[in-house]
Amino acid sequence: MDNLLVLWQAPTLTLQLLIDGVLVGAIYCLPAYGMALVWGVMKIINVAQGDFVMLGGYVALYVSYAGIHPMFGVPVAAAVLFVFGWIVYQLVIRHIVDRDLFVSVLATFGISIVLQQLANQLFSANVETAEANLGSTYLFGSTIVVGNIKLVAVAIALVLAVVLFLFLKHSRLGQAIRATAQNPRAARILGIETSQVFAMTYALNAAICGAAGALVVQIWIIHPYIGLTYTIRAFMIVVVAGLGNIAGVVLAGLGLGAAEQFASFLLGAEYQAAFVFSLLVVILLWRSQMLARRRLYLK
Amino acid sequence: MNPLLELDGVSKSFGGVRANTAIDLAVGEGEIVGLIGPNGSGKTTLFNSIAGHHPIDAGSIRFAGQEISRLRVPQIARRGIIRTFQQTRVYRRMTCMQNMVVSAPVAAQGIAGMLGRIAREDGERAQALLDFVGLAALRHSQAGDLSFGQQRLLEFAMALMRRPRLLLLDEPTAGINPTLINGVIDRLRRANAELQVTLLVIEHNMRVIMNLAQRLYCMSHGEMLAAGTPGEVRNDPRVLAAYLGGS
Repeated sequence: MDNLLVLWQAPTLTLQLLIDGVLVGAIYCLPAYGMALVWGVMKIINVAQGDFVMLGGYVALYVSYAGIHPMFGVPVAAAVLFVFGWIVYQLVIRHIVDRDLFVSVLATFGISIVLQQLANQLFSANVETAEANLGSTYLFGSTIVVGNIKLVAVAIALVLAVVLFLFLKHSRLGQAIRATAQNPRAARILGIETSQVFAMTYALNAAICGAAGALVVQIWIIHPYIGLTYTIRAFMIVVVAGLGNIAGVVLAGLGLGAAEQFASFLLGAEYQAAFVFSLLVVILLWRSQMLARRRLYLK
Repeated sequence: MNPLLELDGVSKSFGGVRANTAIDLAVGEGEIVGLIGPNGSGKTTLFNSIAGHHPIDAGSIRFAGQEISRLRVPQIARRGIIRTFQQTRVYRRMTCMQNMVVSAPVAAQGIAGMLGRIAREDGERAQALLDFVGLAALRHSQAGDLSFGQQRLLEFAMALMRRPRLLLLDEPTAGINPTLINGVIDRLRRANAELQVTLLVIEHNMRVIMNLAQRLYCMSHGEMLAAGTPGEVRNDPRVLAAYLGGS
């Protein structure tokens, strides 16, 4: 309650939290958008989503170990994770496309566990971060401080989202992905290799997560078990926004980022994860109630 | 006349049910051939076998002289066989133009071909074919907003967009307003004559198929019952028995 009063009395602090939240939310949008893509096109809920983010973070970290600025880790992580996603698709995912949604949850949960254990073996369980050293921007007479790395990360996230949007809308492959999402059987009889479209979609998703991870490691921290929180966040955003709704994903992502920042301030940082999981429960209840109401309406 | 499609002893069972038994069928290049038979006679199963939706148990399917019975659906489509369904399969949340463009054949195969931008000639051809089926004015409409008959025409145009050599049409006039049926028949004929597309058509509307097809095949209980000109098949006592239930 005291903290609530502080927010009321110090509007610049409220603004600081809001800005931080929006910047954080923009990063959340990336894995969420990838998840919506895979879910919409392949009918697969990728529980390993956050683990791809974690792997992207380690790629950028190792880029920085090589003496290169970790920002260059963004394209490198995207490229490495693209190849990795393609391999995971060929090894596991292609066997579960067209199967029950629950099978996909189980299989990708298995991938998630394997990736966590492998990361633990390869990189150790230490908490890591890659220093970007980009300084800060001070606003309103230094009452608001924004890390420049966050601004750069948001700009990259926005550019990636726009590129993806244009790619899906105007490229041949983008059109094939959308067609396959809507009617895979029709796509096949018209000559579209849906298995290749699926592989490309999954690899593209992994690349997006990789880029997001490379940004995450420069802003916050990574460790082998951090993936789940990003999977949950992506899942929440997609559940709120719905599939095939880019604007909805962006809004829900920014909203979640802001909600987290305020909750963290009001409840204490130690309750941030608890808040995220509680919010998921509330959203799922709200969504199921909405669906029940719609079913009632259709009767 | 060059045989374009040749089926030789094609059989297909589902568990204990024999859907197709030793089917022989041939379609010459440039022909319009009808496939008729009562419900459950195995016509759609035969279409599914030709288009690669399931493997056949026995026999061979040759297209342009090459065996295609072991190929997958997209591979068969790229060889030039495109099929349509009784229920339309358009991309409902894309515009008519987008439906058309995504159906264009890609010069290079697979992903490499798909990575490129949409070619201008694809857009022009899509426009021309929408005009051909009478949907030019609706090119920017969502396919899901079209009437069933219009979706049928769009699906037909999408199939033509792939420059098929053989079109397998499963009941192209089913569910279409009777006043529009003559228009559909006219477009099928024009596609055959002007675009050099060979047609194999399943149709229950006898007036339509007798009017459209140059040759007919009649199936019953998974077997080929009769083949010949529409006049010959119509007067075949086995065909009459199959349709009217006599012996």
